[in-house]
Amino acid sequence: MLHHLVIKHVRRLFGVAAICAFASALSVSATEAPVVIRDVAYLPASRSEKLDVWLPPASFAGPRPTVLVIHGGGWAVGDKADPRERNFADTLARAGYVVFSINYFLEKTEKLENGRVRILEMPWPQNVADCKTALRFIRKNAATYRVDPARIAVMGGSAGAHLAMLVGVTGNDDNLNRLGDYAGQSNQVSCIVYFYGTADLRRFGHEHFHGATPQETEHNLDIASPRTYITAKTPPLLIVHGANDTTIPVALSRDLAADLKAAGATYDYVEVPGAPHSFDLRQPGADLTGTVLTFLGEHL
Amino acid sequence: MKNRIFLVCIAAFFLTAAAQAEPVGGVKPAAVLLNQSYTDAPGPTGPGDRQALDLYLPEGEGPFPLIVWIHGGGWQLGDRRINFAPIFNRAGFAVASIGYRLTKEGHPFPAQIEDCIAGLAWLKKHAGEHRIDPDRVGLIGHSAGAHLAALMLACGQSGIFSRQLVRADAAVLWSPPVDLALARGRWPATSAFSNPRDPFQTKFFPTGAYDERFAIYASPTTYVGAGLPPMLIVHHERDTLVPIGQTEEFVKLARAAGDDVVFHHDTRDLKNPHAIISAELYDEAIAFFRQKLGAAAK
Repeated sequence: MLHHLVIKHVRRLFGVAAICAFASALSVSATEAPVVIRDVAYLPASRSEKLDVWLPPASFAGPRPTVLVIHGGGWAVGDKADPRERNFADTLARAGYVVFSINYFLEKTEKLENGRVRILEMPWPQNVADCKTALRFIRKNAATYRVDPARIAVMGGSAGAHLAMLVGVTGNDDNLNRLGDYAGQSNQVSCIVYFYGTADLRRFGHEHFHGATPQETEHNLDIASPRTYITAKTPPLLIVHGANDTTIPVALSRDLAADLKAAGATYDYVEVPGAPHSFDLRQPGADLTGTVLTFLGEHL
Repeated sequence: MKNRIFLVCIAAFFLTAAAQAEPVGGVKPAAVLLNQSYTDAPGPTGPGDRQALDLYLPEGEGPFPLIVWIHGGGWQLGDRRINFAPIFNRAGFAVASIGYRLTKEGHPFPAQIEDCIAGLAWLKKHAGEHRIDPDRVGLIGHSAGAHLAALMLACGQSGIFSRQLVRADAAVLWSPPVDLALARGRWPATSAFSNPRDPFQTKFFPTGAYDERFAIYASPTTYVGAGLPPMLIVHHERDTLVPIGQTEEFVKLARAAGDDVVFHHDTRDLKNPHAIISAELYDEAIAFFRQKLGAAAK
């Protein structure tokens, strides 16, 4: 329930109407499960990563608002069908959204005999290139999957939140938009759902964005940190972070909210008391499903 | 009162950072290259540019085995100026001193290790021009510099801290903080490291506060395993800044993995048992590098 959440810097309180709309969506979901189309190829044939499409029940008339879900796992592990990502996708598809949950390029490491790990390939910038390719793939194939190409959100947890926000804030950035395939499709998203991520890689995540030289590393940290791109026109952002997160400190999200406020951007900030790193919409004592559906309802 | 204890500890940490002035022994090196940028940064560099190195070469044709000095100063202070290059030059070693960005100047870890690796990569790339043997490289550092040298030795080829991969062949570590995790590293509560207001915590950590996960990531102990090049570690038993217990644990782990580690348990009567650098330690280091790298030019 909402009163269990500490909500700071919230620019709009959730209206009664929105909550009623959410309740009616839930009543539909109780009876109809989404259809999942697994392992759709969206990258060149040389690449093994695929995406899953979660189609809402047929009772939802198309074209539908759509959410691109990017999984977490420290840019090195994780999968499009991990429990958190399945929870995101299932919840949203039942509420009438088309959901695309993607696999993308991950850091390649090798475990040595002595137990140490050697990094063979850095994930940057192929990870964001894949996410951008997925967004444009969705637009290119909008008719096939009943997608409304003008209403696409991007969402993720942890490293997935970083990538989701980066995709969301760089819709006009030629430098990053030239990466990946399906050039010509729009790179814009309508809003961003950001669960306990890092928008400032200098404060968390640095080690996955090395360049070949210290200068290149600095450059990477600039262009790969979503906070670099924050303006008043940044798409509306929903930030959710656990107050007891010992992996990515909640201070990063508090500061992100302050940056968005200073820039005049639209955002909601939800801090979940007692929550650690990594949770899904079923966080006990916190109605995150309502929070997310209300946010998407307003901005998508 | 507590604050005063922290300040004394901090001061002790930096004492050894200021090692400049006249060359020790009065012998000037045959060739000196100062303020050489190891980055692609355009324009001239000066002594204040952190991402630069100084190179001191002995007389002769070479190629010379290379000793790379990493300065201390708690990652927040100090600079690459040295006065002891002639001691190593006379023994037939080229000496390089690599500067690196400092935490107090807005560059939290791992900027320091990235720069040290970039400096060593530059030295290897330009070895031929400067009569250096790129396959006989020893690292030497004191305190924070020893921490960085240990990381270079253990992780230079792992890609953990940089996409540049560099190999070093031996290292001398003086009073090294090898374990930055507060409990695992046995840091006493009176240590500056344990003080949340100390720059170690506020400037070293990217989040501005101690973070166990990050401390483990930044600690040489984390990366001990088989295949480490030979090390000589000197630690004073009464070092009040960096506890010797963490070095003993590091040595135990390395030896268990089959690594070649000489552990010099320093018991001398010293006013500051963290600031251990002395003529006898230079001699000990030279003997160690001669044995592990070979002394004369090939």
